[in-house]
Amino acid sequence: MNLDAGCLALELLRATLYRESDRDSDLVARALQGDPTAFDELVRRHQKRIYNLSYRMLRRHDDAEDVTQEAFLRAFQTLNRLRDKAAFGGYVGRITANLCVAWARKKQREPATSVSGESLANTLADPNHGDVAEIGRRIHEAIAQLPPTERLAIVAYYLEDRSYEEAAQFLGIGLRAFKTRLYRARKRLRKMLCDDMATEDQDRL
Amino acid sequence: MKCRHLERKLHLLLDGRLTDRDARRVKAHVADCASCRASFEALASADRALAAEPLADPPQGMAEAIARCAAAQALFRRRVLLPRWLEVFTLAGVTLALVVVGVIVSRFVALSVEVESLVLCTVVTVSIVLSVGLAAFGCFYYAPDI
Repeated sequence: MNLDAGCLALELLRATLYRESDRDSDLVARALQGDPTAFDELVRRHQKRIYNLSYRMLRRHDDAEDVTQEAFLRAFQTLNRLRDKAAFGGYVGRITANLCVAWARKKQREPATSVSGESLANTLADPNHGDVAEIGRRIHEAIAQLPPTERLAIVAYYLEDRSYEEAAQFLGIGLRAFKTRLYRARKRLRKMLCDDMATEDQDRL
Repeated sequence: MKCRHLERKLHLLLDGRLTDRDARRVKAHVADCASCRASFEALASADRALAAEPLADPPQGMAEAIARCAAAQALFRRRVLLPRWLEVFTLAGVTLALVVVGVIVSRFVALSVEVESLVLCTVVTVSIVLSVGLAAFGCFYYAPDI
């Protein structure tokens, strides 16, 4: 009985997954044939993930909106190059990742602003968390100082529910390269946070 | 266990990717070593904070704006009738045919030198205009690289 229920659940999961990728594939095919509603639906299906990748990379809503728009339009312009039509999500994700890195590099040359961490700080401004809003702010300031490719690795990892494989696929890089970037990013982040804490301790003394 | 070898294992411990035996050894070391404990706590606090961040909602109307821009671009999008290589060969063939026709006309039809020059000039001009026109058409309508 339990085995039957398990098989049924597996079949349902398989059918759901099939429909999801099949839906993207169908929408891409229709968009290529000139159906405007198909691309509209593709945007609606993927906008949240793409917008959040941009926002977590750039920490400004207006920049994130610009990058999201640019990414979808580039994906639209080059849709005929997409071989695996079911992989639209990864395709637009890679375009967004490249745009974010270029955008972040451009911003790095400009003077730093202290807009980072607004969303996280709000989330953590919970009485049960104590001083975690402050910790969130510090963490985001440290992340903003990471090189863009390393920052992207951290952002993609947490956006993809801590899966190395899915984050690597999302960014269009190999698993080994992704792990290296994530390791370097965290190492740098850890060093910055530890230095920060040490400075604070010295100030207290 | 030496601290300098431990950094990578701290990350793996955080991600739950160590074997039970390794996890126990790393945890035991972290409990004894103040420096590694501070490192692990810093990593863990960053991990907790990042994992707790909720997804932001995209701005209202963004999807509609993107769809409108895409629809506007689609109006200018080139319809692919022939493969690119075939277009190049077609252009080369048309140009060659025009030159051959020009030469035949000038050879077999008794024309004055002025008319012959005029025919050749016309053929060359038409060829150049066709080439430049098609190149500009291609540049304008082909999608840019990512």
